[in-house]
Amino acid sequence: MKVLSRKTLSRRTFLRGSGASLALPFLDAMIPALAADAARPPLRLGYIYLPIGRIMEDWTPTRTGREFEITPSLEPLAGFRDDMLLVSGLDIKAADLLPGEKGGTHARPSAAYLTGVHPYNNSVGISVDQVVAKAIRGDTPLASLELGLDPAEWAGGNEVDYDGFYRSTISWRTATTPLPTENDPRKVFERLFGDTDSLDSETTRRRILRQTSILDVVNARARALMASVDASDRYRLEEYFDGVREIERRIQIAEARDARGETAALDGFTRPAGIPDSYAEHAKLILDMMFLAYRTNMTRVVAFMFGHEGTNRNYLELGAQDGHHSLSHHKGDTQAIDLLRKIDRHQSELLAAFLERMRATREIDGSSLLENSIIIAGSALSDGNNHLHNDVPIAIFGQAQGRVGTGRHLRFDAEPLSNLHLAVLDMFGAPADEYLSNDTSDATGILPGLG
Amino acid sequence: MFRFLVLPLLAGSPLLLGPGPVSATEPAAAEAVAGYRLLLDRHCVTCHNRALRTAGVMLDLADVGDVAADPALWERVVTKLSLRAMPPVGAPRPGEADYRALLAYLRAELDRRAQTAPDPGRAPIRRLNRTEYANAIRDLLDLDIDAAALLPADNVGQGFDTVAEALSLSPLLMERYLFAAGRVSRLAVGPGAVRPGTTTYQVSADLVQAERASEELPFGSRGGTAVRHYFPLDGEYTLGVKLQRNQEGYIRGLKRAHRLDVRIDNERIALLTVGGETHGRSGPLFTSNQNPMYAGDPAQAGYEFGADEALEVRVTVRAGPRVVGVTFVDSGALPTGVLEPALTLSDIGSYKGGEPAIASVTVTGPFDPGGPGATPSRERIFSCRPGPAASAAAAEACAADILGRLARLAYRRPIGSPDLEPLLALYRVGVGDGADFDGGIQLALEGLLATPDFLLRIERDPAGAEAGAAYPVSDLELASRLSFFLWNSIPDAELLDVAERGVLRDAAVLDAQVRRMLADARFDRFIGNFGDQWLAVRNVDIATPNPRYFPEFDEELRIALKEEMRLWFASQVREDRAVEELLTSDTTFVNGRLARHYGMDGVRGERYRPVAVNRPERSGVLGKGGLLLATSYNNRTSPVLRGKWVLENLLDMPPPPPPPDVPALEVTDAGGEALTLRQAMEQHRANIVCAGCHKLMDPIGFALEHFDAIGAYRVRYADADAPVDASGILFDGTGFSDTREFRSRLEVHSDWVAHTVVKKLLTYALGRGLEHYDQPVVRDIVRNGAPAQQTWSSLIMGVVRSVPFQYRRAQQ
Repeated sequence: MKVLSRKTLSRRTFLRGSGASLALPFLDAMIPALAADAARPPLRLGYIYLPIGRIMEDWTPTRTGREFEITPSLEPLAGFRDDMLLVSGLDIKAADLLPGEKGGTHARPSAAYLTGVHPYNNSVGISVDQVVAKAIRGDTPLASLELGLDPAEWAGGNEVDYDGFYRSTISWRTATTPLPTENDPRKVFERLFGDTDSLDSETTRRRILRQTSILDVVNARARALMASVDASDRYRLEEYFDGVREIERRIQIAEARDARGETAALDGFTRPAGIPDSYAEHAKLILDMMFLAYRTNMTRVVAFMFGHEGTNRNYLELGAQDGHHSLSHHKGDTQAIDLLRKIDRHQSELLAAFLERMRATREIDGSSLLENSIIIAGSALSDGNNHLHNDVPIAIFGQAQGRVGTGRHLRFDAEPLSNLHLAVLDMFGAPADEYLSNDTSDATGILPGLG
Repeated sequence: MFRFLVLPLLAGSPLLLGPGPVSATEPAAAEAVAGYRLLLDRHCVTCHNRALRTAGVMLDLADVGDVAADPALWERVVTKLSLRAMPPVGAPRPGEADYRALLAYLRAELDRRAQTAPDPGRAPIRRLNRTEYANAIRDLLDLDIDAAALLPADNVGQGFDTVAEALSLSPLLMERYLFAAGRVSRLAVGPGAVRPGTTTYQVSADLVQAERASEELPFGSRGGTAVRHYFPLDGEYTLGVKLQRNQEGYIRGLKRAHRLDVRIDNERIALLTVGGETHGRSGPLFTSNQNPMYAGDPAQAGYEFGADEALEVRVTVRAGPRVVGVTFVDSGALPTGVLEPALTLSDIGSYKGGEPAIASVTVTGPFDPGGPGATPSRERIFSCRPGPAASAAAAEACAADILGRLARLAYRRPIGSPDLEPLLALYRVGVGDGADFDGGIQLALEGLLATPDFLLRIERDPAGAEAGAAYPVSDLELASRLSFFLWNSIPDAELLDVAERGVLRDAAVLDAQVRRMLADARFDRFIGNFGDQWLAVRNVDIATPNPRYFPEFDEELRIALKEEMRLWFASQVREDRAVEELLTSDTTFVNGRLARHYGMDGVRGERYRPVAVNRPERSGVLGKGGLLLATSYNNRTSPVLRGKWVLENLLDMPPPPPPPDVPALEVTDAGGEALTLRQAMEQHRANIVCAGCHKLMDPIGFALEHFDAIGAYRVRYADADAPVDASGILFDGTGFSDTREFRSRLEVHSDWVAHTVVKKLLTYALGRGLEHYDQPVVRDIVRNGAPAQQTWSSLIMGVVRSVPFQYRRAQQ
């Protein structure tokens, strides 16, 4: 929802804004390597958010098991039938209304989507992506990446006691720290790769040379100073050295990667100019960044939102003049429902293009990037018209190195979505304690049968 | 060997330069000491004893005859007694003569100790903070950078971002410094080639855009924005404008045609027209109405969604910083400053009428770039330039010339070959990598900006300094202390020249340099930085008045409240007012928006102007809406926060933090009746644990209750429907019946306000928290400023001449 009121930004919004600048991006020109000595590629996690539910009769197949049929909304993804595990019958129980509560029909489910906790008093819970990011932190330069398409300003609107940030992100670093999504592909690119125009190997080689030269100078000067400063001041110079050493380490990784010829795979990627006008182009570019982040192992955990929950984007190119949110309250109007179908299919198409890139990319051991990933696409609502948050649409892509048995449709009977999150934590060997630490968590046990 | 330094220290010290400090050159008579003991026993030890340990102070154990044994303790006593804040309100007080005698004795003893063994403290290594970094880049390379986009925010210690301990270095920060070095050096030198990039400047959706929005925009304009954009190369750029949309995505205000004025450096480059076209029937004015009966024609709706796509201009721009201005030509149909129509918040969300407003301005380019052009930065950098036929050696000589000059300024000292050689090595890498001369300079500059010599301020003990002894810092170190204090940046060439000649400590030279620096435009940075942090201006940015209670609060008001404080504080300092005018000044600065907020007549438009305050309660710092806003909650005032702010920032008596598990304020009484804030606070204060500090804070806050949470004047509480009661009893035991009387009670303590100001100045300048051994210095500066009525320049000069500013303690 765009903020047009004169309501000022909430303090929380401000904190999110400053958080963006504090979540420090990474060094100019670093293309970190896949761990060179690992025989096995790393496992990646992705959450792709589909806003305001789907037209469910067009989404959920009637048949379960291996014989499931491709429904109209899944048609653009038909090529991934064997890489897909559809899961139905999952509820976001934590989003249920508390006694006496009203409102927050979009905020409650989206806040609870990855946290399994009912938002209350500016606090939710840590989200599953962040638990994984924390557990495998240190393996990659960035712990996680949060991406979106809707600008942050659209989230400012207050929906009966719930601020915009409950709907503008699904990732919570802590119970009180929502992570803002970045929607400018240029900024994402610079955060990943620094102030550079292209990722081709020649440019990369030159940048490594230049940076090594600069670090040589910086190191020499710091050493000279170290010898001359007063003993009590050395600790601050040590901090300086620590920073330099950390950067040297990454340059060495980049050099090794370049020497193995791996940077050549990134030829053709250039720095995006900014946010394109077309939604499709925008989505493609941001999903390119998601792919690059995985490909270069800058991070192993990414969350991406096709729109804020409750987004009111106008898909003019699809002929939808009314906003997505307005349309979602179709009250049975067939024209509105048709437009929603178009939006659902369009997002499936964009998702398919991204998955194709993941599947076509070979890892160090010859397996595809998709085989080494678990990408979970879904929504916190099923039926947007009635704000239902039970039996939400969930489609898992990728085999997670054999941990996910794809090519099936699994149906559960009103299991909490949180149980799927527990299964994901288990796959990554991440501890579930923090995810379960909130008393109101709706998780009951690891969702069975995914493998 | 440095013991002798104590002598010049004393000779040159303001401790002795003043008009006769209260001296106590002989030990006090035993009889007098016994009197003080009696006074303490009678009035203090009831609470401050070894059994109760109130506030950790045990005056039964302390020996008042040997003040030197525990100066930290006695400095605390001096603070409390100077403000007459002890004994607490309600307890029996000593007579005024007793107060004065004990204070005179304690001060004299403490000052005497400081004179025999002065301790300047130790300034640790300090990195440049973000503001200093940006200013240094500005002064070194004539380049304005958006530091907030390049570097993370700094931590604040002791209320200021200049405090060394808070300015830590992390690997992440190091990365950002390297990133910034690359970005800054490329911008300054001019990138050899660059892919077109898009920069989008959002205009806050919370701005009303009903009036001229900026001094950079022409008269007769309405709304819009003016941004300073750095064009990296000569070339073609497109400027795109997006208009505000309502929450269903419709552009607002398209009913009539509007003209949009696009300017670069205030020169009109295009006059675009938007709105007024008809492509069929238009849908409802409130677009949340989904009744198909009222749906508009698709062609018209398409126009209302996308009319701003045509708002794009392609233009050739010369490289360098330029102001891009986009604004509507004011048609004059509406009186400015009036929101038409008045709508509820949710209706505003789906209203598509009214006047159009600018949502963002986008600059994309360069296309077909030419050369780097003649930017101010390039003129600053390229003092020489090798001709096309120049030999490699000749080119390198020119590079050495350029880099030596820049490094001297950046490192703030003379440059030797250990400094220059690595930079030339980078130059060679740059040139050898296929770049031209400029590319070599760029890489060397990138390296220079990443060196610890630039990023860290390092002071060193002289060889052979005796452990723990005070020694004068070198002239070069003093030059940096001066420039970072007064200019928030590196010294300029003249200051460095003086320091290198070794004459900066000559009193006349130092005086002349400081006067020059105070007169320089760069001194505005001190005013802005120090003032913004001390006077809570930065907190105005993060205040979020709840629109349910304060629907009239908008971004224009927020900006005006900040500007008022800044302009007023700058006028205080620039006009060299006495610091006591902080409390009494009856001039302030308003524009039309703020005048409306304050209920002043006759001020319209966006320009700020000095005016006399319209009611005495508004005078001085305590009448400034920005401060009153920053010390409130989002739905109500907080007498506690306001009282705490005054105690901390004007009276140097910070209250301790509240104990854990403090219950929230009750808003209704047992019978469910709404309580006034005062009634609620009184219930809260019934708690004995809370009472001690709240007795200090709350009356000050209550005295300011005529100002609501956004600083507007009121005589009644709207919610509890009761008159505002601003009476109370000040910490010194004097009562007041209203705000004005409170002001006059507070003015009694203006000397202590000066004391507090000096402490803030000294903390800011030294980059460290003050210790008890700094208190005599503070007293001294205040005393020496007295003949000049403690004007800002006299206090700043006092800080510059003080022992801790000029000396440093050698490490132990």
